Order: sequence, then C-alpha cells, then structure tokens
Amino acid sequence: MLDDEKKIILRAQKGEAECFGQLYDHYVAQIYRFVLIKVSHRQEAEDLTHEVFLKAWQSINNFNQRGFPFSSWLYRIARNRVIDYYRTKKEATSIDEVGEHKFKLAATFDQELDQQSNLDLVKTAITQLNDEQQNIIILRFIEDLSTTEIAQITNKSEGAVRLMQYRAIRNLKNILNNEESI
Amino acid sequence: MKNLFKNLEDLRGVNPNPDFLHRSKTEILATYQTHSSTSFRISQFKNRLVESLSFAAALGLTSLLFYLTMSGLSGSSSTVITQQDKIQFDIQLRDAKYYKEVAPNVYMVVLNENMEEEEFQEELNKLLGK
Repeated sequence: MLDDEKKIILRAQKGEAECFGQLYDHYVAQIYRFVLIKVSHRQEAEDLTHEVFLKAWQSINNFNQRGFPFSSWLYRIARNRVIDYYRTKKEATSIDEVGEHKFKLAATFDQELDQQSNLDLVKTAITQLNDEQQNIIILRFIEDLSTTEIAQITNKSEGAVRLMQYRAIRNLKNILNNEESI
Repeated sequence: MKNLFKNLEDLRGVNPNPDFLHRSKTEILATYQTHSSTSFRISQFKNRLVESLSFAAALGLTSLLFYLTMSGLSGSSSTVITQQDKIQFDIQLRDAKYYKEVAPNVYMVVLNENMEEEEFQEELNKLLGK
C-alpha cells in the first residue's frame, strides 16, 4: 500500500492524472504478473494489463475507499478482464485448435521467462489448476497477500479462502509430483 | 519439488517490460477522463446515500427484530401465566375432590381407630352435613 494512498486516490478521483500515475507505478507489476501467469503470453498480458488500468482510470469514481483496499479493486477488474479474454478466445478458437494454441502459448511463455527448470515446472503446473486455485496461488504465495485481502478480491469468506489455499497447494504438489515422475 | 514455496516466491521476480510500462502509462494518462468534478461529487453523494440507506435499513431491521423479540417474550410470559393459573386451578379442583372423597374416609379411619362410637358418629355426621 502506498503512503497516503487514501489522499492519492481521492485526488485521482478528482481527475489528477499524476496521482493515478503513482497508483499505476505502484500496482502495475503485480497486476501484470497475475495476468501473465493466467494467460501465459507476454504480449497478451501487456495488452490486458493496459486495459485493466485504463478501465480503472476511467471508472475510478466508482471505487469506494471504505471497506476495500485499492489493490483488491484492481485485482477484481483484472480477474474479470481475464475471464472475458478466455470467453472471447473460446468463441474464436475451434476445439481442434485448442491443443496447438496452448502449446504455442506455453512455448512463448517458456522463452520469455526465467529458464530455470523448476520455475518452468511450477508456472506450467499453476496453469493446470482451475481458475479459483490459480488465483489463490498467485495472490497468496506469489504476491503474498493476506487471507483477508484475498477474501475481498475473490468475494469469499476467509474460511473458504483458507480451505482453497490448502486444496490449491495439495493439487499443485500432485501435479508437480506427476510431472517429475514422468 | 522440495522448494515449492521458494519457486513461487521467485515468480515474484517476473516484471513487465519498461518500454511497455512507459507507453501504457502515457497512453492511459493522456486518455480523456470521462468524469468531471461534478460527476465526482455526484458519485460521492451516491456513495454516502447508499451508506446512509444501508445504515437506516440495518437500524430498522434491528428495531423490528427487537420489537418482535419483546412482543414474543411478552406473549410467552402471558402464556406462561395462563398455564400457571390453569395448573393452580387444576390443583385446587384435585384438592377439592380429595377433600370431598378421600380425606373424609381417611379422617373416618383415623377417628375410627381412636374415638368411641358416638364421637365417631358425630364427626361423621358433621362431615356429611347432617
């Protein structure tokens, strides 16, 4: 969280672009990682991240400071944008093309990310989890958000988030163990 | 995978391209912002209105629950009192029946054991209202 974030948001809501620029600088990397791990393609991730912040800038007046941190609001926009992205992708891609498409995405991602084999294994395994579990892994274990923040972003109770954390890690380990044994 | 948590943390090192950041930020901030100070005030007013209505609704609901609880309690207490009266009335009826039917017999038995015949008959007559 930024120092004086409330004041900065209030000024951004009054139309001060410079203040929104500060929010952009502070949050863009984590939103980008969130999107990148979910779509596995740098170019697509950049476009989606840009759209997320554009939407945030244009609708910042809808953000109500009481109750939710600004990051939760951004993650919600990002999450919805990724859902729309896959919905559009599904409509545009035939079933026969899915396998090849996924392979290309994975290959691009592999080239552009860290070359360490363990990291590759982990990020590939994350993409095999369902959407909710991907969100939990990224937000909790990569971005180090608290359970409370994740509950606000995902619109679930803290108890449900804790349970989902457990399941997500268990599934991720199973996937990794299976891949290692192959 | 022994260092799963470490590998997850390492993914935090993935950062966007600086050229992309510069281009994206410049484009976004150059975009005409659809809201004005008037719309900001309207939005703030709307937020406050929603909060006030939420508070009023919560207060109203609490009052209603309180009223229902209290009226329920008073209803229950009157029911309890009615039931208590009924029990007492039943007990009185049972007592009357006892005194009318059983007690005289017991009394008569006791008298019978301890009194002379005449005294016994007198007492019996009293009980019988003779």
